[in-house]
Amino acid sequence: MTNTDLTNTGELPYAMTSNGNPLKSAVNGFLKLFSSVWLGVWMLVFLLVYSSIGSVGIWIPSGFVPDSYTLSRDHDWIHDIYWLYIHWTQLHIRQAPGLEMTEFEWFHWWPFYLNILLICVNLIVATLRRIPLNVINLGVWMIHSGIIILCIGSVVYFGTKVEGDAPILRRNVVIEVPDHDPVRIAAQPGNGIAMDVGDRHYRFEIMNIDPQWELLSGDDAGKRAFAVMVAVHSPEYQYVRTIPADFPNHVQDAIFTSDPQRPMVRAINEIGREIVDDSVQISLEYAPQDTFYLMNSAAIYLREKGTYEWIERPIHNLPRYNDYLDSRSDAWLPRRMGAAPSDTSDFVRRHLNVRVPAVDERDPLGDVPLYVTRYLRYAIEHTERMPGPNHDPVVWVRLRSERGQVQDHELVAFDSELNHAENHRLAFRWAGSRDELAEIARVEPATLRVVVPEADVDVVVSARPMSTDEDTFEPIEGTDFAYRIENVQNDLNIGSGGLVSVAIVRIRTPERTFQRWVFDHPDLPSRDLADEAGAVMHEQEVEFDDRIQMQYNPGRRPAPVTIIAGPEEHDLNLLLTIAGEPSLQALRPNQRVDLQAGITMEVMRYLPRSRPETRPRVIPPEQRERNAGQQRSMIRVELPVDGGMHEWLPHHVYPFRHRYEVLRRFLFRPKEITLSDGRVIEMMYSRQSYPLPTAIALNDFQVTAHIGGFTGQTSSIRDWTSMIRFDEDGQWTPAEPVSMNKPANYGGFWYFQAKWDPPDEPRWEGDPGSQGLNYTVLGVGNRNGVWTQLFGCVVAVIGMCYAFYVKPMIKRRRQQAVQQQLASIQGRQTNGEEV
Amino acid sequence: MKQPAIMMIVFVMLAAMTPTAFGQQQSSDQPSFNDQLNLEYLGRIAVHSDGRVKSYGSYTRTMMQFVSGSRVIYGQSPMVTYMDLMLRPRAYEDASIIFVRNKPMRERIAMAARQAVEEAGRSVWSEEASPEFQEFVREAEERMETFMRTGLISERVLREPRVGQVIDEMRQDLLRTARFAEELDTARVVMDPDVLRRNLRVIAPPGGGFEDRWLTFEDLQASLQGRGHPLAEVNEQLKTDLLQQWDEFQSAWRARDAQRVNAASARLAELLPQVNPELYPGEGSREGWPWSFTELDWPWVTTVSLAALFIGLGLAAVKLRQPIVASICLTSGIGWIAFIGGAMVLGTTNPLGMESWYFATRNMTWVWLLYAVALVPLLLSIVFRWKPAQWLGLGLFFLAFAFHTAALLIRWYVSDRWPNSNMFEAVTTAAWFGGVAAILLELWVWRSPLRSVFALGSAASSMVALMCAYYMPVGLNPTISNMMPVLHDVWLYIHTNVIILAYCLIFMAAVTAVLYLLYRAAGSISGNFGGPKDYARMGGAASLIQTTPDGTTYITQEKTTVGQVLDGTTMILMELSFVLLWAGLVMGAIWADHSWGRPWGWDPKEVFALNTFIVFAVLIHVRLKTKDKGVWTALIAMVGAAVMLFNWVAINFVVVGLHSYA
Repeated sequence: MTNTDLTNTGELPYAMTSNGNPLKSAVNGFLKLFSSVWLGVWMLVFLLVYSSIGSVGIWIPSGFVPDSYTLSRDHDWIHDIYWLYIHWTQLHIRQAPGLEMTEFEWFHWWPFYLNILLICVNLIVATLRRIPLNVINLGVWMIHSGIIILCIGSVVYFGTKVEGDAPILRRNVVIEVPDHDPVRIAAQPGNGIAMDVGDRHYRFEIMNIDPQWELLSGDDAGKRAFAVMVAVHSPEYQYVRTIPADFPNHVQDAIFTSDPQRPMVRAINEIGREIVDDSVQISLEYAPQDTFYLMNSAAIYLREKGTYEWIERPIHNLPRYNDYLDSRSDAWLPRRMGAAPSDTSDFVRRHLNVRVPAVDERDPLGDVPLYVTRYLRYAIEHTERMPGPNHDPVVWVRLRSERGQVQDHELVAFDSELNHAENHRLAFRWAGSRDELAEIARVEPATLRVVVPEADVDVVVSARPMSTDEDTFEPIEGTDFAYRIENVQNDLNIGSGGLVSVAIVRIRTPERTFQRWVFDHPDLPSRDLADEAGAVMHEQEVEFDDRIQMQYNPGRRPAPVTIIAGPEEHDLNLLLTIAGEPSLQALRPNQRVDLQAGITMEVMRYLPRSRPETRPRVIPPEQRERNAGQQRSMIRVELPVDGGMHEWLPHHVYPFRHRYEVLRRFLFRPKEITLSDGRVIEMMYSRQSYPLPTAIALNDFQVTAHIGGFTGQTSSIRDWTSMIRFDEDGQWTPAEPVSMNKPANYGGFWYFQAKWDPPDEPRWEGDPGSQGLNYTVLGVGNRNGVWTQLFGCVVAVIGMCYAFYVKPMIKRRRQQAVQQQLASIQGRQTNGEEV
Repeated sequence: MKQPAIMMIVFVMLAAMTPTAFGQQQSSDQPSFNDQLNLEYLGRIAVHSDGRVKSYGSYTRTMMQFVSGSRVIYGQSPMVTYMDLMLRPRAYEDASIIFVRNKPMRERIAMAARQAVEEAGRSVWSEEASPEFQEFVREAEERMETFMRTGLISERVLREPRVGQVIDEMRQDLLRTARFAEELDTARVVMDPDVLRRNLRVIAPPGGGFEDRWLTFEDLQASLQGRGHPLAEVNEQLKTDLLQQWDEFQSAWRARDAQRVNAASARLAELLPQVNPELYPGEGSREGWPWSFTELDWPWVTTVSLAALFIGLGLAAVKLRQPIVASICLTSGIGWIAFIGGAMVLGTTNPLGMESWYFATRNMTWVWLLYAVALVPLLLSIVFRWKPAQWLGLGLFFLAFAFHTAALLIRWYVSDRWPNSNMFEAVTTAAWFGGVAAILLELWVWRSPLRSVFALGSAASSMVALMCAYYMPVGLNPTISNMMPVLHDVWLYIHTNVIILAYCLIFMAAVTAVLYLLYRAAGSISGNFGGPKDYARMGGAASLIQTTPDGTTYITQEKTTVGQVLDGTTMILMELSFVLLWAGLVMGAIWADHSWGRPWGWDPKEVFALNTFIVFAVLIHVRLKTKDKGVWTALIAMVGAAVMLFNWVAINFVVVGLHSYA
């Protein structure tokens, strides 16, 4: 051993003499084995391989993998990867069926622990037996002991680690009306509630939330506050109340006016007081959170319908990455690109039976265990039509454009929601007889009925818009009135999903000329509008002239393209009214029909007898959102009562208790099961909960942006800050900021800024959209042993510097000292000779 | 810059696609228009884009990258292409400027386009034999060949129904081709003149604050007519002047009158900052740099004297054999002079002008060539111990390093933050750190046979790093953008820089390890150089510190072989990177503890950093136990570098993890 880089590896200090004692020889054998440097090297190599496999799996060039494995298997634990101009097949062992481990679990599995334990034993034995503790070897000792300290700290740290996240809503809206308990709903745009007190009907809707509402009057003028605008419909009044957080004396109402330029004005300006109706009290209060939800965990929540609190049943050993289905018919499986509909050859049958026992004595199902028997990684519920016993005709239609674009539709004749498509231009009907067929094909022209009671006039005229070239009016016989039909608009889509037709008529009376909008809808009375340029745009309503009454009947026309099944069950007819006069022709499945310029239609399939069937639809891997995690997973729960029942449950990020509490962008879809004793049990699949050390309230949430403000892109954001308060014996602590890299610390947990509520477009027609910032999500975690870990690391770093740089200097000094001594001895000797 | 010949060929091809409607294409006046354009003023105009105020030059480069990838269109600056697309879209209707990255996709598009051409031709010339038809098809064919080679195609071809059909088909295959079809969509959207106009936010919000949105000329126009943003705080005169100049600029651009364009852009560059001078970056607007201290002529006095001070101190420290002080002073001095030189050449301290220039020179990544040139004499000097080669090599290395430093400082100045928060910055800054470390080590080993080996390792790694940045502008995107909020932490600067320095040292160690193996291989063939015992006796640093019984250090001995030199260098670098990597990992854990909530998340990037460390732990123990220490050290050092590179390349680009932003 000429190399003394690190250690003096000479003879072992303790002689290994075994005198036949089996225990002694075993101990000696153990000591000998664990003194070996090579053992350590091989265990390090094992650690390297183990962690590589856990992290990125095993990569094999796809050429060396049998074809049967590479075909579109990306959704399992086998992935296609393209790197360095080579296609690789990545075998993600950790995610394989049977293991289903997260990175965290892989690195806390027994082989890993065993490996670390053996490395530690090896380190201790080899260090004690091979490396004498002295100034020269201090570095190695420090490195080795630092690593052991780190391992001990890590066992404590990871052994006690609890981490998850807690959503905290900013405020609840508390609504108090006379003779009713206060009601709380989450302060989120679009949230609303209807209340009936006796025969009094109230409706409240949060129209808007302005996180930066400016106070305009009083001493606080110019300050900004989080303000909630609630539209109130009470039996007497309709108004919008603005409630700023933390400024209760700035609550104000706004009332509607008839002035279209200023549809709303502050009540104080109109009626002289801020509050329209004192009997309705609306206020804001904190929505404290006392629970957080554990990362990568699963639980089923149960309650009897009508109760509020969920009872939790944790699920252990639920799969994560692979689908577990018993048969193809358990779910709608994805089809490979271009494959026939029946080809689901990717299907792999996997058995699952996870027992979920009750852990809470309040459990509504008592001791009855639940079983999770199916698991899907990424699926949504979807209803498809299957052949069935009942007469319920359904067609599948494909429209093709010249450019090859394809649009598929499924039309169900007896379902008024599903029997039309393409904005009512394509429809599917059933005709039981020739007469019904003729009735569907019948065209009835639009008419306008004009009634003038004074003059006893009641005529019906054709509602066809008059020529725009001349400004002629049609006189009404026997009166001084004349009218002119300007325009008709049929089947306009209004917000609530209904269709409305309108005729716009100009009416000339001896006094004036005005416009009248005549609707065909019973809820929409006719309106008179000023007849000025642009007046209609601003809806300048004038007093209604009830001397003339009109009714508009839009008539009826079948949809431009109507497919009619019948009169025989297997007959299909096509009714076209695109080119003016209706034409009826027989239609066969798979027959292509030219509709108009470049667009063809084809009935792909027709089922006269069908039934709807709802199953989870497995989303093809290439369409999955990459970082969805568990959020799209679904489980099927079996209930071994009443001869067995089952239900598919979608994953919920948080187990909200009520629809009024649900945060924007999160799902709330509990499922119900009715037991034979008549009880209805609600179930929800979500994550395990864990109590926070104390309740936390979100006082404020701020976004700071880079120059130019928030543009909608994350790159324009500088930081997010939650101002949170902890409940300390019933008192709120002062607000404390939590922002990126700046956690708060309370009760043994750290709280991190994890997610936020960005501004959002309306989600559906009529939804108010959101300016965001209504809630925050804090990451929560403990950190026992972190200082031990750090201490071990620092000791190791110092040891490394010592071993590489201090040790040689000490040796050099010693060498020089020895040489000096030698020199002086030589010198003395020389001197002596001279003497 | 300009390639008239190529441009002419392109123009000829442009006129070949379909027999209808051409003619008003770029005529021969374009080169002269481009020649006469003075882009300096345009380059100094600020554009607001997603939380950053960029120069018009770098902004257009980013935008045009969505259209043309890294291809240069007609040899002209993206500043010109952007304006052209916005103001003269018709001229580009059939210009091949949309880049199709994927080769199989190119093939399918070309196939469909050929069919479309033949159909179109047949509808005009009923006879296929007619010479016009033949000529027409031949020209189209040539054009498709160019497309296959360059990947550039025109929007008009993409609009052909047949081609559209092919693209729609690709859109269906989400796994393989949808991505490329989406890129094409993005390109076509970005090319839209309206989109270009709406994004040209050049007017700082007048009277507005830091977080107020910047405005476009259209907003300004609207405000004059009493709509939109009131812009109350700008005087009417300035508004009118601005709009007048903008109109003048547009009409001049459309008329291809370079003189008028230059005049109008100069005037715009002068007027725009006046709208809200507080928000507008101008001369010396960055804080903390010498010229922002005072308004006098002090800046130059300060900078020059600072440079002199650095160099003076550095030389003194060399004389006093204080390697650390010397190297710090010298590298600072070199960087300083390089930066000042850059600023002087540009004649400005306006970050906008610098930004445009910096992007126009491809972020100075061509410095790799200088490093490459330096490698040759450095290698000669090590193998043959040839003094002149050594001086030449070190001189070239210092020159390259000075340019590299200048690039780093310009980027720092322009982005207003230390460049280490995206892949481009990580790679180039890591290489620069390697250079600093090499200079430091060179001074330490100045009088030993190790001299110029570190420079060689650093030159090689810097060359590779800058080459990657030069040839892969898509993978290593040089665009300057804001840091993600999570990166705003002091540990970003500590943890990241320590780790990338360690990575660079690992790469340098691999370079010397490869040279050692080559030396041993050559030795085993010729039998002239050392065998298994040809290694540094005491390891790395110790071989330079510890003394032999005769009182000299191990490596200073006269008889030190090339093998010992190379092995010693590998070991010195390995020891340094071992300590730094461990320290960097611990620092990362400290950061992660308060950033992600756990010091260690088993994220792939962390795991592979740890794996790299494990490889070096294995190296140390194997070296302890084996006989042929040099070979084992070199082999395992190479494995370590491979694991490190896998971490940087494959994990970053292929495996997604928490670190996906860096």
